[in-house]
Amino acid sequence: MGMQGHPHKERVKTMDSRPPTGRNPPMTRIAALSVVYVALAALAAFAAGDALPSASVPMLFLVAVIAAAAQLGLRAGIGAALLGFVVCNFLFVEPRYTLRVDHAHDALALGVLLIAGAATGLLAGRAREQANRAQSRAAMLAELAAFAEEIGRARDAAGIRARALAHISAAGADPVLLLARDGRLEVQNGAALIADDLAAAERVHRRHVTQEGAARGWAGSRFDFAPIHGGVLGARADSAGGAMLAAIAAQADAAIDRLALAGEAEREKLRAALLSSLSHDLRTPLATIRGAASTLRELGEALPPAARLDLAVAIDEEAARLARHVDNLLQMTRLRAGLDLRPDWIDANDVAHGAVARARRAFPDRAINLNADPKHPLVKADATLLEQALFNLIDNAAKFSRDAVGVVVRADREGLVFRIDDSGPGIAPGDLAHVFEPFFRAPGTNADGTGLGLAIVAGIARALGGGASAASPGIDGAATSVTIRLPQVRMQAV
Amino acid sequence: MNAQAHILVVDDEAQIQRFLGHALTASGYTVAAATDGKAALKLFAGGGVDLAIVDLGLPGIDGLTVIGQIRQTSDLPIIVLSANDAEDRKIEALDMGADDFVGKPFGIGELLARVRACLRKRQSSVATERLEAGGIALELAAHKATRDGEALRLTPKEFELLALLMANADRVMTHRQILERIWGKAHTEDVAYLRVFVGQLRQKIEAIPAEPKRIVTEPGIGYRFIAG
Repeated sequence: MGMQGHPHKERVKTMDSRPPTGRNPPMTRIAALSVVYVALAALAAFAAGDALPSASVPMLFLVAVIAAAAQLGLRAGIGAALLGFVVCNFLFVEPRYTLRVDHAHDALALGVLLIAGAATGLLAGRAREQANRAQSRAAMLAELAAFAEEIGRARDAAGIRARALAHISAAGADPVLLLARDGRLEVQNGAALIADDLAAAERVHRRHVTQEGAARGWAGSRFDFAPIHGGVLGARADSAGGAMLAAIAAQADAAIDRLALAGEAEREKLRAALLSSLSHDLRTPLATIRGAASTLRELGEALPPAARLDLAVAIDEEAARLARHVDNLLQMTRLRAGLDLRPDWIDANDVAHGAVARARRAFPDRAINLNADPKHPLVKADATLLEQALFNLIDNAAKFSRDAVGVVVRADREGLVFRIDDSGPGIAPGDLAHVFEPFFRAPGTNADGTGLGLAIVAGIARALGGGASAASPGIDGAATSVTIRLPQVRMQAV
Repeated sequence: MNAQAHILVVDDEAQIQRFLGHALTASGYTVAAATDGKAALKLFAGGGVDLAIVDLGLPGIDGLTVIGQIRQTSDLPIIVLSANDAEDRKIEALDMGADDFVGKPFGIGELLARVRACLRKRQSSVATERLEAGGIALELAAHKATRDGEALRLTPKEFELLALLMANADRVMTHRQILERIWGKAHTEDVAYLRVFVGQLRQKIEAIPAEPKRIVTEPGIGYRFIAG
């Protein structure tokens, strides 16, 4: 402690000037009640006059002292005992109207008053403390239960951290949240920290253990700190919030872990859908080629000439289809590389244009119209994945309709919307809910596809924190509109 | 007799239907084609089907459901077509009562061999006293086993295991099916146990136990006794 320099003195002062926490009654009330009880005892002694033997007078003051101590605790007991002794001595003990103590039994009376006051005060204080503790425990448990329930509904780590701060604050402590950025902890919620607080937070972050702040009046951190995902959570030491801190941090950590696992599972599902799409695309033509070729080889003599020709045609067609899929595979490699999500602020119109240009190359005789957002919104997304999702949607629309395909980009306060409109046969109401499921193909459609295009779109949209939906009839007169909505958007100053 | 067998092919891929139609017809079978589960069940209900070849990845009612529906009323031989890596679905289909599987892509010879084995089994599924295949003969009542005329010393469990595999010669038996039939329902997960017995059996009946030709392993699925 000796090493702590001058600046801390000021802080110690500010700490002492903190308002009392309300556990102990204020001094003014203690003084007032002590005076009242002692005065009542004196009045009673006067009223009794000679009826009361002078040796019994201190007993009345003893009653006053016990009453004050029981009601207001140790300090009131001692205060009332001292006051009672002075008054008793001055008014009732010979020589009267002096404060001299001539006899040993008077000194004994003072001792008895002090001991009775202190003992009663201590007992009363402990009982009150226990009641207070039970009460605050109950409040803390209620607070923790509410917290657990709220974070169960939270959708991201930021939401969970915000709830943690709110609950520490509700428990009567100043909360602090620090998150690590580039190896340094930064205060996130505007709390004003001093060097000692920061040093303690750094230690907690480094060692990953909870640490209590310095006791009141001592130099050191004013906050208790607990490690939390990516940073440190703090609460003003010596407060109800401080007692809850470790529990809140542990719960928040568990909730953030759970969210991360859910996100990982989502990406894993997407990966599996991509792989499954890939193997299906390659395996089906291969199965035909191998089956037809082995039939020709093993049953050639038994086959009529027309059947032999048909098998040769099938082999040719499927080899061509396989070649197309290998081309797609190269695109998919790009997509798979993008599966390490690298969200960045990207120009929404740019991505849409990239997908439209690719689709125009794939469908050279089709009109694909891009209706970009004039505000040039930026969206937090992975460009490779988003372009693949948009391409899949345009590809899908182009397969199902003969007329123009519309691509619309629009930003509003809630996020960014990419919409692909077509004028095809539409989707039956009963099928709308299923179009994003893997291998779903609307009954009666005969387009060449794997049934995975829209599933991949939905997977990508979810991986980017948004979602995909379909409407039929669509928007603005389209037969079908399929929409990708992404939550994080920023308007670009143009 | 096989030449008249009527085969139902259930696959949603037109190209697969195309070559299977030619191949099965050229092999002397008659063929009915269904591209989804609903049509398959309708054709089956119409009667006259001797064997079904069912792709597991069907749109709408999937292949497993089709197998389950057929098995409710019939022991029609069923061969499953499925992607090679979809072991779980293959096992599910076999445990549901499919007779065998062929992984896509496959050569036509492999499929025709399975078709023949399944049809043969159907003809000979009468109670039998004696099993004979690949030089191995089992006298079921007397519990006697010989290989090329020489007596084989088999424990009772080994004998039972061999008899089960030979009774289903050329057909795959899943681990679960074997364990349930020989050791009972409580042991259907004890695959390691089964491997030990198969190993012992191979020591006694295979020419080169390390390169088994009679009891072959279907990786991840089960075992198959090869009669030929």
